[in-house]
Amino acid sequence: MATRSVAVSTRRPREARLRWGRLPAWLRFSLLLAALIALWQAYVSIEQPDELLFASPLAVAEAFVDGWRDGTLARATWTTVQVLALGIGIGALIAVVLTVFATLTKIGEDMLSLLTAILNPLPGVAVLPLALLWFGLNTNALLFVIANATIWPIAINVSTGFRTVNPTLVAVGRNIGLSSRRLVTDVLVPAGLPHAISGLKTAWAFGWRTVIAAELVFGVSGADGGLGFFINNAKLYLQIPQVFAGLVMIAILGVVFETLFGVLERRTIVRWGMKTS
Amino acid sequence: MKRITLVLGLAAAVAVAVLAAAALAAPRGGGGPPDKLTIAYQPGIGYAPLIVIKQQRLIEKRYPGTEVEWKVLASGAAITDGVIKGDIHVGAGGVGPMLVGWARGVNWKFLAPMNDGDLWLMAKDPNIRTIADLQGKRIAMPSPTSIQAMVLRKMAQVKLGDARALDRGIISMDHPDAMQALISGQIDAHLTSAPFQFQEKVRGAHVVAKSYTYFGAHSFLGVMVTQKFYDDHPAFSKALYADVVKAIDLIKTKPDAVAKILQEDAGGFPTQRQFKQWITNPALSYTTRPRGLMRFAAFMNRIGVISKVPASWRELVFPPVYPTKGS
Repeated sequence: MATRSVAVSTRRPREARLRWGRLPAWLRFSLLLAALIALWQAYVSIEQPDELLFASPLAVAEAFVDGWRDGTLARATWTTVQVLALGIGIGALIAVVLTVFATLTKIGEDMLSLLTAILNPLPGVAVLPLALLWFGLNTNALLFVIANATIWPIAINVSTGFRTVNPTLVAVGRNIGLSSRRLVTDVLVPAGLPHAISGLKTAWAFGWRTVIAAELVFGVSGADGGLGFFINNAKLYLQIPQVFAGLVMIAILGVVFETLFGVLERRTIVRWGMKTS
Repeated sequence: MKRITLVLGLAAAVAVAVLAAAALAAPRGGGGPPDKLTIAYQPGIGYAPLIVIKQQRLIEKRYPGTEVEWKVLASGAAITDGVIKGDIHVGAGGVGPMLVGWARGVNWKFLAPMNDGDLWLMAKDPNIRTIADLQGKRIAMPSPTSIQAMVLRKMAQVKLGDARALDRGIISMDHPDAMQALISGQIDAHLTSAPFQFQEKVRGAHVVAKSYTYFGAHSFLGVMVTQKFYDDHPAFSKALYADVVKAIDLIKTKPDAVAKILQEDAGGFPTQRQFKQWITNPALSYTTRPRGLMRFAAFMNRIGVISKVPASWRELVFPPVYPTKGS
């Protein structure tokens, strides 16, 4: 993400590049973030909004630290990440099975297209009421909803990836006498990887939105709730700074995962020259 | 330079948007009776006085210029939100959300308590007979700030020694949903109110505990308005209090007529006889006299749900309620 901004800024007029674009990326983003927070604090100080509607950055920071100190925020975050990882894991597994069938047989391919066409546009939370009926008020319902939200983007992308591998590459592999196992591991999989990664990225974004929304809708129960539950619960007790702290946590996790995907891409497809960054 | 201008412009745009949103959210003042009034309550027979006022059009008869909108919301928390935002002018709900809001600075009080209510903890599984049997079980109630949640914590404190012992099991559900869930076995217990507890009993659930055992007879629901609303519309507020008193009198003296009103409001189901049984059941007694407010406030403060305690029950109600000699 950071490197891409540099590429953009080289196209800027010279003077702007001197003043802003020359600064290191972390400093530029920190400055922007600081400016936003200052603006936020200024709004709160000047306008003095109702404390029950809006919290100041200071109060939010306090609530954030308190939340980590007493473990409530940490526990909620851990619960959500755990459920999400498990849900995406299940989703990815099913997606791979479906894709293998789709690659091997024509009927599998048609089936996958049909299922994806039907189920992919469904917002994850839309199936929550059904999931609650089928699985009851527990984590299984959440897992079902997340898996459903993640299977389809992964399956679509992976199967596209396999089907769009450059035939020349495969032919070259055959020519130099690769075994079919090595043809898969050394040619097909790396060639399909950009699609797989973008599928995983989409799945993560879908899954993340779905889990938070689902937790907001039904807070499972008391101490076992995740971040959505934490936010909702804080709102019930009218602890607005805590609501903001939960949102900040979600934003931080978003940035962390985005960075992790960036690292993954740089280590693989960018290094192999399949994606410019 | 261009870049920096852009950043500043963007920042200014964000600030303007935020300010505009705040301006839109600001409530507007007034003098006499309000032009427009939104009253919100929840499902349940405890709101019968309001339903009588709604169906008899008592407010419209007194103030023809006032446009009244009635809303039925699923939980006290939703009503709290509406009152904070200014969308709801008169909210009705339990002692729990009222005290949580009061302690957090929602400047509201009971304009008219509506009833004392015994809240029953219902279970269907015959093995659940005592509070101790509920450990690790799923217990539904409107929200973790509802009066039911406070009652559950009191039960947990008395029977298990820890007020939060059963908190893990709390599931937020509105009463009609929770009743279905209890009967179909999706949840283990339901801490509820009339008429759901009566219906659940008929449909095979049994009473595990009752709130009166733990708090004594206590107020359940009331009509709440903000200090600002009361100050802006004092005559209107007093008249609304009088309407609640009138409706309660009607419930007591003409339960048949009221049962018919409630049946009409409910769309014809259940029967009028059923409604009459419910409103005359001693588990719910209609009165504007508050009871046990201080016991609830003190308990909620002790377990850390609210950070301050009123010096007297009078701090939680508006002047029309003072002569009732509450507690």
